[in-house]
Amino acid sequence: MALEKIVFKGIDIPGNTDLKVYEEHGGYEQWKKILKDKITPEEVIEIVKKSGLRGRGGAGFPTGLKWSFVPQNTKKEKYLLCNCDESEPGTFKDREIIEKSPHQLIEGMLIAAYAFQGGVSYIYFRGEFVKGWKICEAALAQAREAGYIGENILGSGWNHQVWTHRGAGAYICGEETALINSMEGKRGEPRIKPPFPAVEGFYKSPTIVNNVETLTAVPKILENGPEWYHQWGTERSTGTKLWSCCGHISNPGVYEVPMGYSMKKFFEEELGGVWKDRALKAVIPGGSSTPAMTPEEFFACKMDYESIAEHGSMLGSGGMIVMDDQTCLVEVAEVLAQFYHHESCGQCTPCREGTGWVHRIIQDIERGQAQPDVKNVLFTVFDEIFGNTICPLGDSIVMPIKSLMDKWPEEFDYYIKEGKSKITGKARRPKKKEMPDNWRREKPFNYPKTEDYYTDFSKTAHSN
Amino acid sequence: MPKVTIDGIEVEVTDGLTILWAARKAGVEIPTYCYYPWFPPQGSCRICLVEVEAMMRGELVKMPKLQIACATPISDGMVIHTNNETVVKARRAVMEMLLLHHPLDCPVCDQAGECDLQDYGYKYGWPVGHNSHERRTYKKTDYGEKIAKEMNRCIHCRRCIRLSEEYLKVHHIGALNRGDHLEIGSYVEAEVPSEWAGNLIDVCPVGCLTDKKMRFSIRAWDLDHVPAYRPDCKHGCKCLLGISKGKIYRVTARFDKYHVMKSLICDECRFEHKNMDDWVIEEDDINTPLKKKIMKVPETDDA
Repeated sequence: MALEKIVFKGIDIPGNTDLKVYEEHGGYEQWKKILKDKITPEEVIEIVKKSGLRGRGGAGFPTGLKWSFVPQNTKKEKYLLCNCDESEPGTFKDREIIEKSPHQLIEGMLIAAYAFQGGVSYIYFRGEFVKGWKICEAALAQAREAGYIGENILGSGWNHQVWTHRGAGAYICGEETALINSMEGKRGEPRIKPPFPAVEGFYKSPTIVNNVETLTAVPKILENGPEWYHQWGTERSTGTKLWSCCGHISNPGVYEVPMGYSMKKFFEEELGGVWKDRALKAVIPGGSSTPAMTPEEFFACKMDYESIAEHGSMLGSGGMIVMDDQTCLVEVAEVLAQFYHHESCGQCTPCREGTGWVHRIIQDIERGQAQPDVKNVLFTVFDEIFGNTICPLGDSIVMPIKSLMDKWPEEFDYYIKEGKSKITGKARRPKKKEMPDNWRREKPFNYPKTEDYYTDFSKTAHSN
Repeated sequence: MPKVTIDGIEVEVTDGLTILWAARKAGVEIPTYCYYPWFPPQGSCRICLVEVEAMMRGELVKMPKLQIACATPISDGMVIHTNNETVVKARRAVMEMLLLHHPLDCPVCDQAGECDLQDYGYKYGWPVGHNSHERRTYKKTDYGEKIAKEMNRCIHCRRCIRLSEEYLKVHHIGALNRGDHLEIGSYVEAEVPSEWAGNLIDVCPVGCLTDKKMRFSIRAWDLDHVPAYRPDCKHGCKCLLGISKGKIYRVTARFDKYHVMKSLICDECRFEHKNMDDWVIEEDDINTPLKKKIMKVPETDDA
């Protein structure tokens, strides 16, 4: 293990959930310093802006810039919500932080809220994170007792409260506006933007929603300065990132890797390569909603936002899923489709109807009961979903499955034609019903093209 | 006053209006389902997607995604395309998704003839369906003596939920479950506890909520629509009578030209009084035969 944790060193310190241990390792020093030296909020934002820290939840929006969007000329309370609703398949980095280093997160939240003058902050836990929630509650109690949270903190006159909130286990509540709705007691469904949460969010007040990893990195950036954070990574992707690696590898786990690190080196030295001496087949690099990469693309890229985007995928939340050569990718597609079908919130039309449709089509392929032209139908459905939804969940089902079908077409073709997997040699699902002998269409059905049916509606009568 | 160009038509509109209203002012039709002027836009049906080019630092920049017309505010110099290939494709996609599970039982549906899904499906739909799977069906639920509910026809626009929560102040109807098995309904099978519950029928754009008293008795296009009021009504409801051959088949609220209710009407007016003697007709030419006045209502000035 060559890579040591730097920013998230606290994860490896035993007993770090206790306030005393955390203080021994320099905990809450930055928070004390800010209040004692009267560092202004603008200075804090400037430091974070200079450091180039970007949101680690998936979208990669610059954090300092986000904080500076909060309007200061309002009488409303400003809120900080910490997004700990981590439920993407393959991502488990936030769990490590809240279970092993909760105080660093709390310190980061206090500093972040101070930076945009927010008075109350909440941590939104995924419903299944019971252990992490209990640990965080204990840590919050300790911090309150020590006077780091509450009224008139350390005699500075600054008030701040931190509370926790547990979700009920919905993937969509990780989307920031859905998280706000869920916290308000409504159905966890994304809102339309604008207005953006920074202007009108939680209870129609300015709200910042940040990922756990982003907030946890803030105290270390303040401790060592923005130049220190710039020593890693490229110009646009700075610092380090937590990668949660799982799947068919020798050493799965959570790793902190500097941005711009060689993917090949990381894969071979840290992860120990593919397990059982098998060959690599596919990698989903950033959590299940990002496109899959072939081994060539995967080994050519570097571990930062831009390089992964160049090689046909996205960094996302850093949940790497590795698949060896004995994985049937049709089955992978079915599992992904099932997840997004189950987790679609049901608000907007393309995602509500489309996710279920994609899932049913892939189930048909797995039964060996799909028509030969089913791939055309799937691609049409992908086109119909992609980009037409309120939130990115609709895009999330399209990107991984479409990339699997684009990059490994022979596997899908074999499954559709033969009715069984090319890898495992059998169909995963039993046949649903007996089909007549001639059920399979020999000639692909000619679906109409848009051009054929394009009508200039401006010339037709007004129906209203 | 910002100036925008919609499909080549230049209009000047008041600041803060949405693209939808600017387009209506320009005379360009944009289809809508979930949008209802009474409520804040929800943006969930996605049928009103349009392509927008906005002025950014003195340059016209095309927005990367299609925008919803019902919620996107206009800005000066915007160029909006409601009719090009991308938009037509997106609309067609939404229409196909909405009709994926729709039972298409229009021959026996009471809404047929004044159904938004029919109108827009005819105009913007996709001539062939790709679906080869079974349609989703819901368990039948009873909404009492007044409202007939057919959940299979629902397009999940949630106008009924928003009306009952924001105007009727009853929290009886809500969204249950999620994803494509989402159901608009109530845990308890009971009548909507409001004396304005009948308005849910008028607010529903499809045949999900229909009038149980007039069910299967007449087709909507056979009715003459006559504005009338009932002197005994304590609310002074402004109603629209659906009359055929001197008999009242149904009573609804009055609509403007975008098929939006002008006011709520009470359940007593809507369901209880089917005798012509109870009503005062506001137009005197009710008795002139053979003159159809479908949806002929006084128009208000809007936009």
